[in-house]
Amino acid sequence: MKNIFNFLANPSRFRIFAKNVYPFSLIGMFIFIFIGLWFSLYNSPPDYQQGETVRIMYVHVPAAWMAMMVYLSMTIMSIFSLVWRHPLADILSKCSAPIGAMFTLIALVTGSIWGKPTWGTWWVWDARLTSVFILFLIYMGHIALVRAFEDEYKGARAGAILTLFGAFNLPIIKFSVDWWNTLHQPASVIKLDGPSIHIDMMVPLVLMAFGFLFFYFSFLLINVQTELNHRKLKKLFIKKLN
Amino acid sequence: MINKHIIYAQNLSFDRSGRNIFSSLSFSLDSSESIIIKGKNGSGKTSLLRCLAGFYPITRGKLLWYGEEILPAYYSEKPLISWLGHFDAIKGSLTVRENLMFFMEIWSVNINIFHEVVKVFSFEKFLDFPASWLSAGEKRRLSLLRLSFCPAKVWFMDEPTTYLDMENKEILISIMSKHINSGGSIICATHENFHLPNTKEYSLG
Amino acid sequence: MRLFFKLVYRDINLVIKGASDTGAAILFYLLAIIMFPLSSGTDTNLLTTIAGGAIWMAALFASLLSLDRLFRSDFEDGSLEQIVLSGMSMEIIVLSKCLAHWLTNGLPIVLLSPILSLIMGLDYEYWWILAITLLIGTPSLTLIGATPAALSCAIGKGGVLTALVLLPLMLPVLILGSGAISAEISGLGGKGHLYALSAIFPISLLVSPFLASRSIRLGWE
Repeated sequence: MKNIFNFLANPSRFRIFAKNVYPFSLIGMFIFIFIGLWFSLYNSPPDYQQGETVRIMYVHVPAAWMAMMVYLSMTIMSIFSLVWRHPLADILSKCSAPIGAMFTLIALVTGSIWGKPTWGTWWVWDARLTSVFILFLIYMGHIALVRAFEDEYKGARAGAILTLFGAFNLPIIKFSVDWWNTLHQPASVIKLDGPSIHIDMMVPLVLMAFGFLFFYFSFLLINVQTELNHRKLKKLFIKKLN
Repeated sequence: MINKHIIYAQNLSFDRSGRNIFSSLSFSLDSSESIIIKGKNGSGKTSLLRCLAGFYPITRGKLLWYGEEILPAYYSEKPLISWLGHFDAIKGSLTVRENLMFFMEIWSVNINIFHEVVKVFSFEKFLDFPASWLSAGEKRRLSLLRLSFCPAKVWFMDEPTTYLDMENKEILISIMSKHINSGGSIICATHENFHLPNTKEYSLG
Repeated sequence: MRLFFKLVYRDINLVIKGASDTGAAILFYLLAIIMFPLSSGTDTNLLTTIAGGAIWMAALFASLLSLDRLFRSDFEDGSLEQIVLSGMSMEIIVLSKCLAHWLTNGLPIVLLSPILSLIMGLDYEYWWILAITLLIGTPSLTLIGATPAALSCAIGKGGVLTALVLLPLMLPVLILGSGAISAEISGLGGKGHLYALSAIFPISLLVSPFLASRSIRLGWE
């Protein structure tokens, strides 16, 4: 395992790796999202209270999971970047941010659409919604900060510092529904005493989650390739000038 | 013997933003010695000084201070180097005296040494005026003054002659020579010709 | 430790001599509060309801403004290089600058809060909770702001970008601070908010010096 990690640490090798793995990740994404959509739109029961609107959940919940998962992976990359100065870690972290921001936006928008029929309002300022909104702002701040640097090496490392600082928000999001009385329903899938959700709803949820995960991988690989190509281009340009 | 050198550098290389600034530099610095780094603009003189001080991380190679893996910008007991960089580190809203006093206090410099150095640079009459009233050359002299009362044995000087007139250049060279003769060392990046005792010259680029 | 206080003294001296924006930030704190009655009407009941939140918001913006140059002026003129070469660890430098910032920015904000409560029509009995939330909250604001302020050195420009990065990180302090006041006014008691607010301080005290000094070193690289 450590060998694989060391092997991929070299940017030019990772570029080739990304190029080769990317099609498979894309195929995985399409398969999971199509089957997941089929299950969630046709082959799952409507909720006995909410009726058909519950189907928003199959986009909303995986997107929210991914919003946090992406941030968590960025945090881990940032630790790698700051402590061990790993050359790829900050690139991966930098390239994850726009995808994470997009997932957060999807979670917020679908949540809002879901909230109107069930709660009767588009938006409430409760702890869960507010903390996810803050997550979105942190993502946007990260994107703006990293791109403000003329030197992309420095920018990526600055992003790593900011990511670590913003990580305080993750536990707040996760436990906001348990710590405060909120309108948002408490966790029903990821909790200590096992999921409390029916298996017919669980299947499309998990399928969609995997689809979104592959979506993340695919776009991360594209972003990293772009970033590495950009750096290589700059290097060639400088070499040619000298 | 590695331990005897103040600075011991072996195969130093430095890349910045994916660009190689310098590579495979090896040298050493001992007390009563000076190193003059020459090279055209952009050849990495400043980068080398900043690498040695610890502001830039070296990419490859080995760098030892007093035989240990410490760096002046990280070491935290006493100042290892006295630094004259591109920036003056002078606060315009404070008086010249306040500017100097702050560094005197954090370096624990004796007040007699302070007065002596002020006399060498003939700065007595400026002491109680705001530092923002000084001209660029006078500010440079103020930085040199501060550099010369720092208790650190090694002086790092990046283009020390900027803004200085002939007369002050001579004063500069005389205090540099005096520093070397009294057991100190100097690393100086410049493109002028200096005549210092016990000098090694390196060219970059 | 001696060096630590020397540095604090120097920074405060610089503020007194007018070399930093801190004084202006305090004026801004007073000015910003006037915007609330002028924009949302002078209805006394409404003002009393929003007073806590409004004062907190003004405090937040005042810190934001002065934090922008917390390290940048010393970074740009080379003072920070000289100070770190003098044998002080970067973390200590960060802490001393934070302390100086709090003494010149946070403390005046706390001390001026009764006057602002007065013009916002906040009942006397709630002045203490406003002062306490500010007293606990402003050091956290300073410490949280240190890292983005240090990052602005690395970019070489600040202003809007610092604010953009900083505001989301400061929001929990704002939420808990003004939440404590409104909970107290509504009769629920603001203790819970106060405890959570005071938990932020030690966490930021641990994390902030480390990340801020990394950011400043990144600026030198």
